Amino acid sequence: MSRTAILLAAAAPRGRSLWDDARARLLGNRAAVAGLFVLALLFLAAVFGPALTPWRFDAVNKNDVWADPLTHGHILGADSLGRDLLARTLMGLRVSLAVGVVATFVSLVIGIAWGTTAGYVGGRVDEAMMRIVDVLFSLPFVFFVILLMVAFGSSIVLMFLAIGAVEWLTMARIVRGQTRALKSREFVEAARAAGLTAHQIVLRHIVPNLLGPVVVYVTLTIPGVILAESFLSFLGLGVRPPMASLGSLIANGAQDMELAPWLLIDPALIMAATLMSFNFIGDGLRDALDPKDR
Amino acid sequence: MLGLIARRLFTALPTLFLVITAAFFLMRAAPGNPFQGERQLPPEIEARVMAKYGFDRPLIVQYGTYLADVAHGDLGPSLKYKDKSVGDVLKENFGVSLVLGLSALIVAGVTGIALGIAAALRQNRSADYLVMAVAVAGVCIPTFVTAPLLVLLFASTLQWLPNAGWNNGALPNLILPVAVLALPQIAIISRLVRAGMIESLRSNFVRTARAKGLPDCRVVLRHALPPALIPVVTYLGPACAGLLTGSLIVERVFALPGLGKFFVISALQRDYTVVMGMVIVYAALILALNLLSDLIVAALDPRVRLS
Amino acid sequence: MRAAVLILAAMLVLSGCSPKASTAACAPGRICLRMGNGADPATIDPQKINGVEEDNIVGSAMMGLTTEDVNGNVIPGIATRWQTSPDGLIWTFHLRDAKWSDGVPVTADDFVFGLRRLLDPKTVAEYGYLLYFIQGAQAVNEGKAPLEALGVTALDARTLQIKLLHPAPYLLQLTKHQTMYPAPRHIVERYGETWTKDHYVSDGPYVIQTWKLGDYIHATKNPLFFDAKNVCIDDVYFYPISDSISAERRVRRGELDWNIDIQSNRIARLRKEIPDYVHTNTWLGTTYIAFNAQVASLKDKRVRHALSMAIDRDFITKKLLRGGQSSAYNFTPPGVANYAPVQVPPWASWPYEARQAEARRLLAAAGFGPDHLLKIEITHRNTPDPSLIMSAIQSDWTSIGVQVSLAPEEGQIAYQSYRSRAFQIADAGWIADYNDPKSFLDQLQSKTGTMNYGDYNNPAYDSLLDQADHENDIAKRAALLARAEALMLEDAPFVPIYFYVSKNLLNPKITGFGPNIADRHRIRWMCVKS
Repeated sequence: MSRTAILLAAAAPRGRSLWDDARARLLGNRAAVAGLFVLALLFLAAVFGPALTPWRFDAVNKNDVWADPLTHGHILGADSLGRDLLARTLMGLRVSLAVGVVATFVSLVIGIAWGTTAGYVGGRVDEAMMRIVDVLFSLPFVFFVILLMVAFGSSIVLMFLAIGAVEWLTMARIVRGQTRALKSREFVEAARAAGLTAHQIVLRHIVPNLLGPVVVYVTLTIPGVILAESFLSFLGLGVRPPMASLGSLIANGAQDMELAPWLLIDPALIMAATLMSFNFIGDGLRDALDPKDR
Repeated sequence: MLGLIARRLFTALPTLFLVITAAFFLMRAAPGNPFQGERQLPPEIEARVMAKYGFDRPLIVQYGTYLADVAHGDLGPSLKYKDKSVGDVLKENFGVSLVLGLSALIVAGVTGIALGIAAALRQNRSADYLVMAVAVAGVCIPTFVTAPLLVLLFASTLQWLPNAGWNNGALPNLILPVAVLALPQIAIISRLVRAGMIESLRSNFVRTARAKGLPDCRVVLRHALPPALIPVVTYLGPACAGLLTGSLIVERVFALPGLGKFFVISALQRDYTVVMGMVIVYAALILALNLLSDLIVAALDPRVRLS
Repeated sequence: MRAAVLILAAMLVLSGCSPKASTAACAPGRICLRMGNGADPATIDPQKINGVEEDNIVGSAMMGLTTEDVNGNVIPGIATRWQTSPDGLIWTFHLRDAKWSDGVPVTADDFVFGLRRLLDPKTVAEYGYLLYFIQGAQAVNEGKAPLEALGVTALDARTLQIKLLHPAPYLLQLTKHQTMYPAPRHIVERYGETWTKDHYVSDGPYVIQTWKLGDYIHATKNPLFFDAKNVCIDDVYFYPISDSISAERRVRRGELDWNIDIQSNRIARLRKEIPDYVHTNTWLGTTYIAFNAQVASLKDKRVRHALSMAIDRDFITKKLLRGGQSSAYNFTPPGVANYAPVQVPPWASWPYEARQAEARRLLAAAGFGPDHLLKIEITHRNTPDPSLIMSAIQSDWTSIGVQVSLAPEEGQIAYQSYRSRAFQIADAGWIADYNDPKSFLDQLQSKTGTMNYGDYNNPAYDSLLDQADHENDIAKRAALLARAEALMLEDAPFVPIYFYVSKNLLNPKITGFGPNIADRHRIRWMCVKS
């Protein structure tokens, strides 16, 4: 758990003491530490779990339809097709985390590129670029994601892109604000005086210093993305069966909740644990990096 | 103030144009057309229908015609519901979504603010932790989980409230959907208010007010609260978008005759005109609410210049 | 703030304490029926409707020459008696003195008008092809002949004559079908195509009053209906509820009296908990999967047979659905009228393991195996039952070494890709339009066109069906049709999976609901026990 914090600290090019402080504050935040711990467990489970379960996540077991937990060798029971819930939940967790991380990464790349450009170039360009962000902000984006999924068929790759393309707006705003602030700082002035091109300055001096707010934003975006995916799954536009995501498992579980409540409860608990961990870590990081907000 | 409104309206038009364009071409990129059901349509008849709705012309011509029609306020006929126009569909269903959305917004606002204040006044005590735990849960549990669970509890088991249905907007029918819609918003608003209150309780003007011996309640409501509300009002736009998203699910789960329920169905059934009509209405709504929240922020905080 | 919390609490308490579930406004003294009816109708225009949900509504308002009793049998409707010429080609119907709900008499001309309107290419009705056995119908529907060329004439105001191309023992079945509802000529000609909006009149037991899209359709008893004195229910509310689980909860709670569907795998449980609510019955419908004839690997009959054998139908019907559906090894369901037993494939009675072994052998013989994998995709409807079943079939086929992927689609879009042959294997269902084997077997004729998803084309099959059309002896006709079906099963252009059951969830206080094979339950027969 503390490895993340150490990595953060190591990645910061300057102000090591600031990062040390932040790490100390983060580790002092019990909720954030618990979040880191739970999240680490969940990541391990998502990566290694599916290979360790005795059942394949998509195997139909004809004698185990709606098997109760702890019967027929199914620890968490089985679904309406006799598929092992533990195997499916682990696979679903893997898919949801992957969607969360990848889509957030997409939003990160677009957001940083857009935000640093606008912030660093400034003037008319900045105004135009941010006006575009404003306009996009006021679009009913959920509807566009739905239309996208309808138009091009639901696939995980499209989901990465669609959700990522929606989430980059906030990122762009944050990054642009930070860039503008950093631009007038002395080390940037120095770099400019040393004859570095704008491209080099942005990559070497601005982007690394965005790390703080970006990390906070990322930890708060991933749960949003996971929720968005589950929302699409509920509407039948998410991952394709027999593949599972936490969202699709929950959507199916909600259907059968009177008959087999565990089908809803287990994936819902895993999802809540995932989202809460991210939220706690995000809050903890924000407090740690920006003590004024505490 | 008028300048701001004028400028916003000026940017609203290109935004709407963008929305219409994107939605139009996305919808047409989807495979399939709205005129095919389970039964076969003889080719010559299908050709005739396509011609009737102008679908035999090049896409760009259709797009131009559509823009011109929309400019005249004509959203066209529904392709799926042959007896209704898009105007009818919107008219019959918008009210339900509006009642639902506004009720949820009010409930979320009142409850969220109350919880936020309570948490801030008892910072780092058990009440605070309780409120924040509820807030986190509200953000972490998807609407489509809370909805069936609440139905199971209050409708199927306790039998206090109806399972679903609109019933002309009767209060018992509204409670569960509004609660489900409001819950995530309560979570976010209470967190915003708590943070804002903590900051403003520490600020000089509140300290001054306290020092002058004003009663606690008055200090909280008159002095500390208004600045703490600014982030909440700024959040109004996104909140509205969140409510719209939620209404897609809530209207479906509770079988409510609102627009959200129709959006997904219409998109899947390629009812182009209805989808377009809804996208336009929703975009206009979000634009209007963003403007409104800007105006309220200006009214609440004289420091904000409307530039 | 405290005030606000108090108000909120008061709101919750006040409204939360009403002990009874509120019901849609049912005026005191009136008898109401609230039914969950699947989806909103696309239209309530009798000549333009397609689906069962639409006919539930329109069929409670409109009445054809004949109609159905509680058990779905043909009984006189607007026509009181009829006779047919010895060669079975000319039918004459004698109409009763009936009135539209606005008081205008229903005439034979309204029936002529309705049929012409159905077949008029301008109406774009999708169901016209069902009546192509009427003289001139096909030409009119294809725009190749004027409307007057249709072989339906009003001999006088109360006598209607219909001329057929060939004898059709199922004509009486169709005279109660939605395609043969009359149209109120005086209204349609006056108000045009949008007459359904504000000027709806009907000649049946109910009049449609309001249609709030997504909310409900409200119909009231028609006092001018010829049998109005025996109609018990005054108000009917049709609710569009596609989620049958939510509908189930509402019926149990008393918010609805009836829902027209139950999710299959919940039936067993409901039978235990509320046995007197559950009504399942044989229904004339079959779920099947079709093979696209263009797909190279599926052209080999051995592959098709192997895939058919490998489907564990008993697992699907007995463990997944458990709603009373039965495994299907042929297309035409048991219980269909005018039919003889069909010979099913011999392997139908083998143990499942033996079938799997044989399927593997056939696949290997066709050249498929571990080093030459058979890879296929099933396009299927995304509704609960097909989704469940296709996952099971995917697993069955995987176990004989086939690589299967699933592509779920919205029902309408799925059928569209079937028609355009943009599929490899299609999941489909067929529900009879009339109680006769032809309603099933016609689909596989080579001239059927796009609806023949597997492009089945066997001249021997077509010729047997043609012979049956011109055979006046019911038993001989049945034998011909059964031979045709056996022939088709041997060719295996598609795989039957299971026979449908109708599934209704009905509050036991509703009477007058009889089991019937067409699953058409007319509200005029129903009443509410007090």
